[in-house]
Amino acid sequence: MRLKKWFGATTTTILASSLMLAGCGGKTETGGNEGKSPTPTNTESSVPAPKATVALKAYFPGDKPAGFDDVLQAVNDKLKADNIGASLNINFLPWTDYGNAVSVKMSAGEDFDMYLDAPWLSMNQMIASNSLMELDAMVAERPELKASIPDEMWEYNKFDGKIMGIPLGTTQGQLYGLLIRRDLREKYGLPELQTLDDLEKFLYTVKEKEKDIKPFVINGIKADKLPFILSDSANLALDEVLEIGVNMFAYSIKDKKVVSQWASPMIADAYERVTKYYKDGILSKNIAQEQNAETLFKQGKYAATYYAADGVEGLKYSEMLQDGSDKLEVFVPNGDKAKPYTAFQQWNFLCIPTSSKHADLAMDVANWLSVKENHDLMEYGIQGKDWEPVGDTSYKVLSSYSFPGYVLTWRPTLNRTPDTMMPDDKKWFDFSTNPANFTLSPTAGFNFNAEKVKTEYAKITPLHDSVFLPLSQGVLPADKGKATLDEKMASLGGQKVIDEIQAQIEAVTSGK
Amino acid sequence: MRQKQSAADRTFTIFAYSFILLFTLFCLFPFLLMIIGSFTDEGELIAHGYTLFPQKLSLDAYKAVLQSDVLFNGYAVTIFITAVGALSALCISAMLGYSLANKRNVLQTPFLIFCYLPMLFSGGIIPFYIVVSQWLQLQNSVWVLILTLLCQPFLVFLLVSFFRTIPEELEEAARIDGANEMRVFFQIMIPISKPILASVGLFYALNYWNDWFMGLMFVDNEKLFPLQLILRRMVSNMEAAKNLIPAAAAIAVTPPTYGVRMATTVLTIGPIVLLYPMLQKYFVKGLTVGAVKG
Amino acid sequence: MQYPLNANRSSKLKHIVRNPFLYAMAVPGLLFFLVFSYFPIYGIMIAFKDYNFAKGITGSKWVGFKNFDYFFTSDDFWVILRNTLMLNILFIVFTTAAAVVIALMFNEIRNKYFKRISQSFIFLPYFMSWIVVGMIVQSLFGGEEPMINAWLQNMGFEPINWMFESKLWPFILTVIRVWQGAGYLSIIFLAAITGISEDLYEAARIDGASKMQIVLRITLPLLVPTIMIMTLLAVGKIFNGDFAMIYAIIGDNSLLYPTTDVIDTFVFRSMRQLHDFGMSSAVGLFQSVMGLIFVIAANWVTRRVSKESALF
Repeated sequence: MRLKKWFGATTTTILASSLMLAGCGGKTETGGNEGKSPTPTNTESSVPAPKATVALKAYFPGDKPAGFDDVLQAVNDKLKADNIGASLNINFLPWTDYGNAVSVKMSAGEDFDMYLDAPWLSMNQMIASNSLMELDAMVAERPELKASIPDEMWEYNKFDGKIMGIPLGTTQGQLYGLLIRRDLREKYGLPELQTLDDLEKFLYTVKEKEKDIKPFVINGIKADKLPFILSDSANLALDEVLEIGVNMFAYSIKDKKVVSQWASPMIADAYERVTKYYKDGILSKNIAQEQNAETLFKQGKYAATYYAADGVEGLKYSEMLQDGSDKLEVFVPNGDKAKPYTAFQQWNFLCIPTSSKHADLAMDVANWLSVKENHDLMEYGIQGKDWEPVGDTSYKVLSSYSFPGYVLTWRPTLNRTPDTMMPDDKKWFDFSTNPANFTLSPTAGFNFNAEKVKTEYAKITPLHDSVFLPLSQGVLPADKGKATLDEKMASLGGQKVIDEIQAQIEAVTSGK
Repeated sequence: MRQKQSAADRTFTIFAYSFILLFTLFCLFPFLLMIIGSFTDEGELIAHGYTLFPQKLSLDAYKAVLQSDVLFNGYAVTIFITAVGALSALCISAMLGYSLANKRNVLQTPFLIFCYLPMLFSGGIIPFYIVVSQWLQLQNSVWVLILTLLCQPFLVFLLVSFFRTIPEELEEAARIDGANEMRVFFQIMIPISKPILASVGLFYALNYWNDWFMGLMFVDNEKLFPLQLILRRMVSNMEAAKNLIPAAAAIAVTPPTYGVRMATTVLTIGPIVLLYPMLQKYFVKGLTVGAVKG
Repeated sequence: MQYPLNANRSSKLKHIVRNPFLYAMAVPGLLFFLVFSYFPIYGIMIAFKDYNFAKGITGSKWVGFKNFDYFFTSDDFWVILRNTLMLNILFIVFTTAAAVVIALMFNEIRNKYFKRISQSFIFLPYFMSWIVVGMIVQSLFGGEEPMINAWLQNMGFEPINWMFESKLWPFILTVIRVWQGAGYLSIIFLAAITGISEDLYEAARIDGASKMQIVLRITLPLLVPTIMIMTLLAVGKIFNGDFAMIYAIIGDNSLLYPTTDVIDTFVFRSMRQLHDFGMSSAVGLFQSVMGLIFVIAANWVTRRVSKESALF
């Protein structure tokens, strides 16, 4: 089966490349077919002439993984063996400077072939300025690539109806919950947590009875998710879509209107809870400055912390289970009836600048990477040295090689989870990879473009950090926080932004 | 009469020593916290913050930093650009400063303004990037690290202000003796300017030593990364690994992000702190006195 | 000797030809500025444009002063402006004063070893990146058990909730800034002091002056031109908040914004979602222009008082 796929991939790639060569005609490609007059590959011959290798330049954020040189060499060797005609020259830029560095390189028209971009980086600006290539046609020609990503993911990650980047993700939507210390729960004889009241009882019990362990910890920045978790409406598809891709705003299906998240009646109970928990000391006094929640939880200082079923959050704590204990469990509010809204929106895209001279080759490589064997090679390393398969969907880590899949190789259909993933986490992660477990959000396909309301948007952006976050953390009591936000929104021209978001959403919903 | 002077003078001297001692300790204290922090176990750093007497020591931070195979390369690159850069920069700035400070210079005011405006106004990173990498094609070479920092307005003005204090008579006397401009500059001005030249040279050296920005923007070749860039990448990516996507599931240790920040600082300070005492010998009384009379 | 500064053009040209070296000396430095500072300066236009990556700076659409809107019409405009100026004035005044005192005191130290060691140590803070400093400040003032509170309690005082009290922070920031910058600045003053002719000291000592008098009547006045130039150079940047320092220390703690939020941190937060080059450059241009105005004014005043202390 695998062999057939591989063979199919190679033939397709060769055919595609020959079509490209034919189309090139007399164009001279730098580093490519210099000196050779391009001839269409003779499809009758069984062994096509080996292509000269073009080095494709890529920029990604992060650090060069340990052992990367070996893996990249293996990848390039295999690319050559598969006659793709390209090799990868991957450059890593530090996270803190990635956004700026890449924007500057793009503006200067520097010659490179692929990079990571996202709506939260500069993708919207790049699209608006026609700096990214449209990939629809190229994707259609590459079956492996197309097949490795579910249709919904392709469909709802288009910008203005066009594919502007390969969406990189493993889950189809967000599912939130809390990570709980099961051993503590059992110590106090509490039954398994089913409702938010159960959770509250657990947290208050810990506060009262435990001297050295505090109830709950979360990083200050993540706290804007707390109202989603601590509400009776958590993970359900009710009146409002809370996450529409713009900070602080939500969409009311009932009224077909954009509303502010803090004014939403659906999660009003959450804000009350958060205020109460902060006052009662369930949430730490210094929650606003907390940056080390993961480490503190791992040190055993807290009984509960934030959890998201994204295949990443839960893994941060797997070392706690290395002693063989099962002291962790995941509590997902409304877990049995969860069917949250999703826009199938991904947050990372592989993009190709319009200045690239080898877009087709870049897409060929992306297609090549969508074949399971090649995908595994890049993402997990050299089999036998860096990792070992455990079945088809899991793997065992052997070395410290760790590639950031979200920049290039994440494919929902090809993903393997580490064998150290805790069972609860795996259960919810698998749940999140299946599109059928989510409700399609009416705003799917909407991607906010702030160009027309730049000034007002710049003025209300600071409110997220200075008022909205403290409100979500409980530091600002619910009534006061909400009032401040309403007042400031109005005075800073927030209504203009709201109207613009509304207009853009309507453009998307009416187009369906 | 002498007795009274002595007492007042002695008090003053004691005050001087005490003040310097206190300020030195004030500067040293956080630095000590930092060094000790670099040897403290990460878990303890997170739980209890910094302390002079940690309970759990660990070399994890240093291990993490030193396992980078490009680190020593970075030292080599940085030492090279610091030495070459600082000397070149000093020469160019000293010549420029002298020319600007000289009262005989008819273009003095326009030149001064020309050199000052870049201190306030900048076209931004994008045009700079275009000029350096596209017009000059300097990217990925060691020269981009040197040439881009060759002249800092602040230090040029420092030199200008110093050269202005040199008495005109000195220069006149030399020229009357028949020396031409070049000889005057090299054989008279430079020797009496040793303290300020040492300071400016030191500042340029620090500038080169600490820079990571030019390397980030213009150098893709790992072998040409300066030290600070390597360390910055290390720290930045460790932070990202902690908050965004964790390293492979098997890695059990908490990445020592805090510790590494401290360790990287310690590793970069070492060499440069040794440079300063070497330059202190230039901070001696100038020869101005004898020069005029003689 | 007549200095033909005000002479007509031809005699100026003659002077240049007759003294080639004097002018040639300046060429490398001027060339540097031309290439690396003036060639890119067309980028200032970004402030007035709706920057489009593909069209580049010159091709993007002109929008006049629109990019400045979000800054000038912000609710907190005056607070931010006041904070920026106030903090910078505090920084300049106290750092300069401290550096001068340090340099003067160093001049009195005769013990070579004490001098060398302490000089190296006071220089160290300059090397600590602000992020590291921020972490230490967090340890001292923040978290569950701030170190400073432990000391206060030991001495019998009440602990203070530092992270919630905005009024204290201008002073804390000034102290931190002096700690970091005074050592570095004092080197410059020390170098200047070293240049003072020994003759003057001799004469004063013969006249029976005490050390304190020498410092106040001879050393300090001769140091004034250097102090003035350093200050003038700093004034040019008076509208530029020290982003690296303030963001590393204050971070996103909005409770402290009323007294510590400066122009640069405000722009940073406003641009967090937008990443608009034009809008951030616009404010930068405002800061540069205001700084220039202040420097020209300060320079004019200084010229009247003491010509050699002025910048130009």
